Amino acid sequence: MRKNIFKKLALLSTFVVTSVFASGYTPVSGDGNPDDWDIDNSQFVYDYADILTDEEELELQSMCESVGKKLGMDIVIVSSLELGHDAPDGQIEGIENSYRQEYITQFYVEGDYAESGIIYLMDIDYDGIYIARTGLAQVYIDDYDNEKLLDAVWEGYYDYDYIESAETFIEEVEDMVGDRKDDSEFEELEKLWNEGGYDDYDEFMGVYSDKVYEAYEDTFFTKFQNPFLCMIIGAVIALIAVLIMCFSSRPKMTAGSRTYLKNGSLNILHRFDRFTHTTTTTRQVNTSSGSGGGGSRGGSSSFRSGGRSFSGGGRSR
Amino acid sequence: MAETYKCPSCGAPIEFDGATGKMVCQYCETEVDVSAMDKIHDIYDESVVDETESEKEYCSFDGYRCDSCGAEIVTDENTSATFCSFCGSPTMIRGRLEGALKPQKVIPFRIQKDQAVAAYKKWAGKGLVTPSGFRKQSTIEKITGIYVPFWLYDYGSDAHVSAHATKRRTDRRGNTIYEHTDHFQVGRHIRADFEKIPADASEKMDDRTMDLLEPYNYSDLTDFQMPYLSGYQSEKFSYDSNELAKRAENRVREYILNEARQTITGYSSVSITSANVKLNRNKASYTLMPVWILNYKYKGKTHTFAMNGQTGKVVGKLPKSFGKIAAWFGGIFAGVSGLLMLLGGLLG
Repeated sequence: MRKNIFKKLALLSTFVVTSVFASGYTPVSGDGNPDDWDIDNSQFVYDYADILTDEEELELQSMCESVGKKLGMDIVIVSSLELGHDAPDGQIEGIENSYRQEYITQFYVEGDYAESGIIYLMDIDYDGIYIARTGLAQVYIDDYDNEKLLDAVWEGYYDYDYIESAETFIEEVEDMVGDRKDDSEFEELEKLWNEGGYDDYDEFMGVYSDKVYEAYEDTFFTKFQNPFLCMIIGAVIALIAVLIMCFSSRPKMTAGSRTYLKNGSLNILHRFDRFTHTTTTTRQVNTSSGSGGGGSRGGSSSFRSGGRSFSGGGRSR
Repeated sequence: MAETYKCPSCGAPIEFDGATGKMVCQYCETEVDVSAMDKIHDIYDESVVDETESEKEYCSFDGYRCDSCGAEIVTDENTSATFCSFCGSPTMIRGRLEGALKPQKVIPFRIQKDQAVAAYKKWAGKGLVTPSGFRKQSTIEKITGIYVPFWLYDYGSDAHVSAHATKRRTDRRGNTIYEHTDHFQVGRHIRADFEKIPADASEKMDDRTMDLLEPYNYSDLTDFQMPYLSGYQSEKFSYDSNELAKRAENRVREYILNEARQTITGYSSVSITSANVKLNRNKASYTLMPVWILNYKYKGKTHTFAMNGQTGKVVGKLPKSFGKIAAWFGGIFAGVSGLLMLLGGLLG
């Protein structure tokens, strides 16, 4: 009986190992320190923090490959225990995002990944996450969308459900970029990006900011894609129109006090306007954007690393 | 006594013509001034009873003999001018237009029957939810010109008004906005005279409808003469000036307070805290005002079309077709919803 169990386990291990190597995926070792990187750009999942099982890594690798191929960009997921920085004691807050940014962009550059790509870092070292985009991925996913992605993946990360967080990341990117790939306005932007030979997103924005803005922003008519809303508006307008039809022909009283006032008879015999007191109320104006989602936000920014243009943002637990 | 004005040329009944302001014979087109009519009028004093003596105050219907054909004319107690239902001659009941019942003033008709009919047709045609059958209904010939009895009141008024008023201003220091409200005690003592405030004195006429027909142009107001009534119906007052004074006083009170309120300006908000109004009635004149009126039934419900016989202002409520309302609602709903969905699909 025991022999049988060992036999089955051995077979399963063989299957996993065979599958892993057959897919071109190699589980990594080490804590993720940049000094120890050995990056192969056909591999899209690097779990240095060992927070995923081999099966999970394999599944993510497969998802990154298929979705990345479909969208025309590399999708990379990295977990790390060591960003290669020793933060000064008590001064970690606010610095960790710059460490993550530096780490993740260097990783992408050193891995020599595709011109367009998006990379997700689960930073176990300083306990937070970071997402950076480069190339056309910056056109398809702007800073606002980056924040939405962070919101989506933060939930799984916060609950220590790392596979859930990573899968959500890939699915959200697929939905977000996939929808826009079918949008003629984004097609035009992609054409502009390619024709202009852009690398720097800020430069692209400077030239085509109006077009980019129009493409990113929901137009006034976007809301009318909701048929229920259209019907509510239609019903309200129809009701108002019918009420106007029913009541517009009602006669109005056109005689007023001036109709019967005798000319020159109106006299103000006495008048006073006496100030009595002043009351004052105060109201605070909230100018800060606030934070939420259980994490502190680092905001989004554009930057260059390894001669390439990136945009990104992150948050900490 | 029932009287009919006769044409001095051909002896046919002669009527007041609003367009010319004269008495015009419909048969030989003779025109006679209103003021001259009484002098040349040949009065036939045939009557069933001596109305001035025996007019029964509490009797609902009285009988008179037509001046032209001798048929009996039956009227209710308030009618002072009507038509003979047999020969159509305009007939006036002198006993209801003399003494205390004699109107002091009258505004003669300016709008002719054909103009009133045209106005009615235009009015009936403009309702988008008016039943189609209603427009085809041929009741328009029943439109009637009536001199409606009114009391015109002159009032002096004196008002003391107190109010609480506020002015708001805002300033900002840092992230704090300060909203300051300055409070004021305001007082006004004003005096004004109001002239010829009308109140209809006919029991049959709807007060609201008569109010909506205002204003009349008082430049046409003239001393009453009976020939003005020839060719129209007329009523004597159902309520005397004291009985209707309350209605006029309510209006004067509202008017003087409105005038006082309009002198309180420059504030963000004003609320009247107390008002003391004193009214002094100076005069009440019994006056006849011209109104074209048509009462008609549509699907068992009575509707009224009324028109100011001097200015042409129209008052009335058109019947509504629920089928048409539903059709309009459905059409607009489908059209707007479809258009929005289309725009959402194309431009969203």
